Amino acid sequence: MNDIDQQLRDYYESQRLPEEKIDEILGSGQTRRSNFRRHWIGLAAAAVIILCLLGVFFLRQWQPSLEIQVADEVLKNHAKQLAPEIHAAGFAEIQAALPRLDFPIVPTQSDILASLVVQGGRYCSIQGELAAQISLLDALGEPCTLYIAPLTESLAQLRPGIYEREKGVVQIWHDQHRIFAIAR
Amino acid sequence: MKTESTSNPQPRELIQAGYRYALSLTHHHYDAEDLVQQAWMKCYYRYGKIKNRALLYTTIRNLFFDQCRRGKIISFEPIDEDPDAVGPAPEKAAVGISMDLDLLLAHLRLEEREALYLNAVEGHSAQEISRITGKPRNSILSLIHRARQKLIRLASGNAEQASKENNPK
Repeated sequence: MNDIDQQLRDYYESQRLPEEKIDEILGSGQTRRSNFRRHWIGLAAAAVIILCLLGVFFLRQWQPSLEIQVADEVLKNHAKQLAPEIHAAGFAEIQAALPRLDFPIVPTQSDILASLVVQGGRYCSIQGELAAQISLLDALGEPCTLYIAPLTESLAQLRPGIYEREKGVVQIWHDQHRIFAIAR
Repeated sequence: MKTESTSNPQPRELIQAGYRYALSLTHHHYDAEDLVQQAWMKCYYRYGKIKNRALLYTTIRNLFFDQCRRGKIISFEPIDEDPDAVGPAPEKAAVGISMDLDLLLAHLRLEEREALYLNAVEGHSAQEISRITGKPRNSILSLIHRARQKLIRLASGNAEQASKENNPK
């Protein structure tokens, strides 16, 4: 029996693949592996791009419009009812007292502001832009806050209109390369 | 049992061993060559590195039976003769085993050849072969025993036939 086993071992030991065939097998394995890796890297890259595009899409869907962002910012500031730094009865007076403002704050369209009385003003910012914050009182004695900012590139997209939010109403309009927003 | 499966054989050794195992299944050089190449690529494709024989052997085995099922490899099963009907008793025939093993092995059934290879060449125990092939240990013992008996008897028969041809009356 040992004789058979030994002969079987000898027989199978003598069965060998030629070296060239082994080289071919080793080579083909590596080529296919690298193709496989390249294929998966490509797929992974495509998946990442699709995810990014979806992310941007949903972010844009979810992100409120610029008007809503400005309206909310203005209303939040209005709710604080900060006391004016400068007490004055007119825009020109406030302009003079706030020298860092490099744009005129005197409105040319007076119809919206006709029934409002100026109380004073202070510096503030809208969407990171330096702005003027004017405290006003309406005919009923209710406080209103007017924000004036230059029509910079970021604010140029703001569409005029009346925006009703949970905390109040904001009216936005353009006036000679400036943005006016009044919160009530 | 040999311990190659736990050590880290070189890829060339591994391919040669895989080829021999594939040969024990197919008993056909080109089929064995294709089988080991496909198995190697499959393992490399999936795992990147083939560290032991067990993985390669399992892949070869699965591929072989898969291809048999699909009809790509036609396994020629010899008629399973009555062991007692083939030649004289093994004890007497042992001397005649030096006949061409390649031809003799072709007379074994696939399961017998595989079990005998794993036992006699690879040094696996019946229990280990049972685990590899999924057959009961007793069946493996029987397969190995019958394969040996067949080989001895076939060799003995061939030896007698050759002897008759050399010395005709």
